[in-house]
Amino acid sequence: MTATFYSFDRQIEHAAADWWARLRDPALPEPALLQWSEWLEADPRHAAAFDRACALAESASTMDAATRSAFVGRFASARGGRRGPSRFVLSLAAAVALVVLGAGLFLGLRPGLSGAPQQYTSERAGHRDIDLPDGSSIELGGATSVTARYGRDERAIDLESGEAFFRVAHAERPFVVNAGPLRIRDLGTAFNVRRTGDRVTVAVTEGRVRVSPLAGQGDAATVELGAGREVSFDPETQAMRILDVDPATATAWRGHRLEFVNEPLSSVVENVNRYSARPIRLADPSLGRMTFTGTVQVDTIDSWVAALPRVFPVRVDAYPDRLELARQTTAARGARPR
Amino acid sequence: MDPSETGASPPGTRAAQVVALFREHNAALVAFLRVRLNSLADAQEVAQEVYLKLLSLDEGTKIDSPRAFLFRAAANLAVDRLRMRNVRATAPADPDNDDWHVTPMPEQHTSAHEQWRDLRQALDELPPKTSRAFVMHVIDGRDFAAIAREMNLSERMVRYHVGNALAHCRQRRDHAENSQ
Repeated sequence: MTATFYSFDRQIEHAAADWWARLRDPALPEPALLQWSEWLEADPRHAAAFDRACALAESASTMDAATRSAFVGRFASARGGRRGPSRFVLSLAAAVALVVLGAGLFLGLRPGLSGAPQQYTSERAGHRDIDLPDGSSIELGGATSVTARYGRDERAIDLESGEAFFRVAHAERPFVVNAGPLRIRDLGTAFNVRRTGDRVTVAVTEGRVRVSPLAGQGDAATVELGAGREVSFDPETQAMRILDVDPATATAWRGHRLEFVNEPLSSVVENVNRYSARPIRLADPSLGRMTFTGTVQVDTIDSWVAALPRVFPVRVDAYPDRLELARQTTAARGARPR
Repeated sequence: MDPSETGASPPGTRAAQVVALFREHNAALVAFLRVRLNSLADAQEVAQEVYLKLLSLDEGTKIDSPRAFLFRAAANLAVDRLRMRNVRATAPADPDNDDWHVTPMPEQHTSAHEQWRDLRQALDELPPKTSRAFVMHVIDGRDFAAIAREMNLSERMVRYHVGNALAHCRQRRDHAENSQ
């Protein structure tokens, strides 16, 4: 019964989409158009399905410029390939950046006042460099998403997920990064932000930044960091911990290495997954609380996982679509990688 | 089924006919305009223009098929509207009237992000030609003729691919919405 209705719905949905595409043709012959209107009016389910098809097409046509060029790059690049951004897309992105920059210069007095919020995303295991119209730049790590909102009073960047390195061009309008629970205000500088859910680490490589929690704890909770310092926010304790950091370590990901110092395994795994072809899962959530210090090469993640049982009481179960870390029981025989 | 009209109709008949026509076919009219303009809001506006245009017709105009006449008038006004949109798009931007600096609501933000991710995944499941035709037409706004040239296909095949992709993406989105 259900299956019959299901396939009937599918048929209607197909007919609706098919009609949508035919109606898009400005040269559609009149008899076909009348035939369509009869189909539409014959059954309220036809009208509803047609409505849904229209709504999807409408929403897809309203995407912001950055998302649109990402889709075009992935599915409709000149070579027709679908793997990674082609040179065509990169040059297109550069062209867009130039146009934006040009518009900014044209407006003269208010450079950068020339666009809607721009979202930039990178693929898993991909890096992406973004040049902003004010001369600042952002380097995105794997599976990272940011949105730039340049306003009259401030240059705001939202880090939705992942990791990014910011090099800020000095200007009167402050440059602010919102990363979940934290707000990072640049005081003329270069810094790295890694966001894993609400766990956020900010490392300063040049200049100074001011970091404050979004939740209203007032100025008391605001910290100022200079070069070679990092602050990490722990969502469980709501505490900010300040440490010394080697700038090269904090931005090692730019050279395809991820460095971790006393980081919970759950957060390490989530960051490694931004690069891993096979996602790593924790079969037992309590494993996530163990802390890890060390380096992960993003191009040899499988061998890093295989070595984990030597330092942690875990075993690795490899499946075609994932690697699973399970607690090692006394009966288990240790590592079974691959 | 289409009552034809003679030039000798008494005043008021035309208005009554237009009202009846709209009562019967308004949903189809708006749906048709929505496809052509790819915007429900614009479709509703232009449907009003069609209504006014039909009401202002000279009583002497002979209409063979009111329904066909309705769609023809709608198609013409849709072309005008698209032309107007192009003019606006190439006009210099007015920075004081742009609302780009309005902060988006975080939830909307997430949902847009997820929506594009789901759309990308749905397109990934399709044959390359199918997803390519869809992206070129629906997302990049290119017409069938240009796509046919670039992909070396007939326009009919381009339409076929676009329709298939739309049906597939729609089913994926329905599935996502129902499982929430």
